[in-house]
Amino acid sequence: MMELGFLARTREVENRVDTLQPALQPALATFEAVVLPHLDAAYNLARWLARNEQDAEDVVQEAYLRAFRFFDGYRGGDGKAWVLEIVRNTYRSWLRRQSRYASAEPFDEMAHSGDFQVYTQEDAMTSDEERSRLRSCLEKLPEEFREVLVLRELEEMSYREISETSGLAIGTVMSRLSRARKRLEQCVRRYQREAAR
Amino acid sequence: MNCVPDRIEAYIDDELDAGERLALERHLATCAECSSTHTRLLEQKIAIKAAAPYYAAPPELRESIRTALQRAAVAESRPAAQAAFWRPLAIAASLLLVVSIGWNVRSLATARPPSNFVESLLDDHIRSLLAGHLVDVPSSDQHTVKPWFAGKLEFSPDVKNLDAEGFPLVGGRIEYIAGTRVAALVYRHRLHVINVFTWPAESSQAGPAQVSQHGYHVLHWTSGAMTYWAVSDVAMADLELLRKLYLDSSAQ
Repeated sequence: MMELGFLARTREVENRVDTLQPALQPALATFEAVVLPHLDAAYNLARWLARNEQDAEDVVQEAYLRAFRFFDGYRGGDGKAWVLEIVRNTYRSWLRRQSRYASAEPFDEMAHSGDFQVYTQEDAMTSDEERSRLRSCLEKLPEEFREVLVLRELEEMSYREISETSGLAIGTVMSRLSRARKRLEQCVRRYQREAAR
Repeated sequence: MNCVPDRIEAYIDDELDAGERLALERHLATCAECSSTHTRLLEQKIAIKAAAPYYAAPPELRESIRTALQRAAVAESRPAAQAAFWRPLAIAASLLLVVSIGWNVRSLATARPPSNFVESLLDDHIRSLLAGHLVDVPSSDQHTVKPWFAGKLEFSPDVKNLDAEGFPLVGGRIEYIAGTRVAALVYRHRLHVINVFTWPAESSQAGPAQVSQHGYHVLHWTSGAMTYWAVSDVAMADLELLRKLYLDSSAQ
């Protein structure tokens, strides 16, 4: 059978995986069973953090290889929180490598506080335009806020799970979530005022 | 129940237990302000879900991750890659090295009281190397070094020139060891410095004949009425040679 050299090598690798590493397959199978189901969640978080597809894919790919290397450290429990924690940390170190880490200073909870403003029924979003405003506001939120909102509203994680993923205390998760919501609302209202002018 | 906005957020996030939920619902029914906050938060929650896309992983990413994982699994099982198993040990070893260097530097920097006699010898040796105070009397001639000590100590150290044997004399200085003024004779061996601390045997400290600590070696011997403590980073065998040369030349 004639094959190009690299194809033969690829086949060789596959054969080794399938036949020569029987002891290896259960470990990989366990890992895949625990971690692969959360790939969508991993990608969604990375996509919202990185805000573009290519970077999100790079981060998730790296995170999964890290997760595999650190799988010994996984002690059961919430696989999703464990994977997302690695995605989050991988994203942070990826960002540092890109040397465009926007918030080099430690995130200041208090500096980002804000109060709700008066809000009426008319303000409720009804159109595509308003949806796109909200989406753009969400993308513009400081990363620390964007992260907890994505974990809470899109991943529908509990405070405890968000705490495990982010390494934040539950109280901090709650206050950060609360401020994120206020910031988001302020941003949407700013858009509305501009549109009304 | 008073107005507690964070309770309302916990309520819409489904973080309250049944009792708390009931209490809050009763409150919302009677409090216009909290009811309005609740409506606003709920609308925002719904709006986020409607506006913010959930990005599912592209199928090709799933495939490329599976391939990468299998490669990683194969690589980990290869003998060459298993060398990585030793990496933590290597790191631990280099950390130990750093710690031992750190010990030396710290012992210099803080000038803390030596915890024991050998450490005070080591401290003196290291200080002599780093402080630019290796010798008070720089001379390779024992007939210059020996008289220099005469007026400064109550004893006269036995100063030997071992240049021909590979241990050239650099000079001497006075040191305080355990509260006693002692003679420090300085020799070189290749690129290394050897301090030989010596004083009358009556004030000798009990201790083992040789000690190795933090990459330094200490060799102790007595000869006649004198005690000797040689300290250096040369091999212990070199210190043994020095001792032998010292004893041989004394016997002549």
